[in-house]
Amino acid sequence: MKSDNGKLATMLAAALLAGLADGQTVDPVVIDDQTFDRIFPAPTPGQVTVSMAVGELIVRGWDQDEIEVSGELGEDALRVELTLDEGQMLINVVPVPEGTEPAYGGETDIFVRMPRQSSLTFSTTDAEGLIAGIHGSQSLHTISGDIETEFWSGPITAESASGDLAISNRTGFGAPGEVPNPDLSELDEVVLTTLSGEIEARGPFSQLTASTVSGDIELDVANVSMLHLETSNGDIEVQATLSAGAEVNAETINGDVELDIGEEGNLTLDLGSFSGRIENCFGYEDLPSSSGSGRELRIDGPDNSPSIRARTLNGDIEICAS
Amino acid sequence: MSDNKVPRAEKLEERVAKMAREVMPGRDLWPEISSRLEPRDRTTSASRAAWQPRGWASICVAAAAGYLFATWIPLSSMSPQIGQQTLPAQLRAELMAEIQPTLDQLPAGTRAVVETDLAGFELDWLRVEEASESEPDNPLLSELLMSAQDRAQSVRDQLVRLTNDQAEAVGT
Repeated sequence: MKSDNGKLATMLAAALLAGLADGQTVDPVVIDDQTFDRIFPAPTPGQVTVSMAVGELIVRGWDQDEIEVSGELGEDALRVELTLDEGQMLINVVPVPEGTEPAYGGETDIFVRMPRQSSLTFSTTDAEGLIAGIHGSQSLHTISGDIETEFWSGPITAESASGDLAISNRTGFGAPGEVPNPDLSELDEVVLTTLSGEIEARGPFSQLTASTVSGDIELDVANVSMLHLETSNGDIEVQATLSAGAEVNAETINGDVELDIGEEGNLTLDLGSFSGRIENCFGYEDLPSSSGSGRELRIDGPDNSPSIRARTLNGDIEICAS
Repeated sequence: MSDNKVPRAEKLEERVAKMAREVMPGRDLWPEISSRLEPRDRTTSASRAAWQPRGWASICVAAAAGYLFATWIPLSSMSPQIGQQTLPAQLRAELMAEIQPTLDQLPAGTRAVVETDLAGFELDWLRVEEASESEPDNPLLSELLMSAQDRAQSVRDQLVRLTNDQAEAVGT
């Protein structure tokens, strides 16, 4: 497992370095002390890229034009290489090569503080990522590590093979001295994709896409204008308040869809299940499909009412008021 | 949740039971065969009468074998094309085959988890396919089938992003 992770981390680092340097060699700052704390001046907005195989990464946004990198090397990390070039900082945690005795014990923990408005890219195989206070874009890629982050204003793309993805919207919570962004319609899209992991999202989201193969999708969201949710074997569970004209699309093959969403008489519904049940708290009656096996429920709501579309093969669909 | 669809194996058995025991050509094939054999058959015309029954038998066997082949070989192991359209089973087989190399690059523990889930996904996809075959005009099933295909492509692309791109970059 460790050698696999090490190989992938080396690949990630090499790819990131190749893109960063763009043909020019920039000598990295090499840190191999067990504990360390370095601060570098950094223009805002900039770009911070972190590559680490295992351990834990904690990232915090702050209001200084500096990047602070601190932490502790554990049994899985050989050294940290820091490369700063034209506003881009690459933090590469080099894993201990296969067959090499580690210099230190314990887990590797890396703490990064970076300008809020800068963007973050995080690539890992098995490290956990805890990210907060980053207002720039986030691009997060993990094989099996879990990632938990906050959404402020920049677009977020997070994907994993088996790691869980959790995101909370902090738009309503301004940093000290900062006016929070009240216009939720201007928020960027969030895209969360995993194969075997779970997805959780909480808070106001304008546009959210969540996709899994077997993991569950659990959302407690507000002010939604677009939700696109799909899974094969997982369940979809949504509590949401919707904007006028919102579009919600949920699809599963075997999973159930449970929507606590919208209000009676103000929804356009298009629900269909091949073998499952369709239930609602509004008193509507589902009918046999007009074009084959299965059940369907179609209701035309008022103009500009939120539109809900759900499809399953074997799963049940349940919709109630939020 | 329930699954009352007829499994593919049962449908296959039904089709086999309904098959004709022997298959005869729809027209007299001998004149064409004869014209092709004529140059070297000129000196052996006397033996034609003795050969003819065996020729008919061979044609019957070949036709029956062809029918059996087309009926029994699993769709996923063939490359059947109807016009330019790719059959759902073929597309499924191709996409799952494209995903496999990326799985090989995952750490062992993650690979086991993801492989199990993808096997479940392929089974679900097959169920949608079978249901769609039994009700080809059901729009719900068509939508689910399209979604399953799109999801498989997304899975493939996602795994490529997570693994293969880095490997290629190292190789350059």
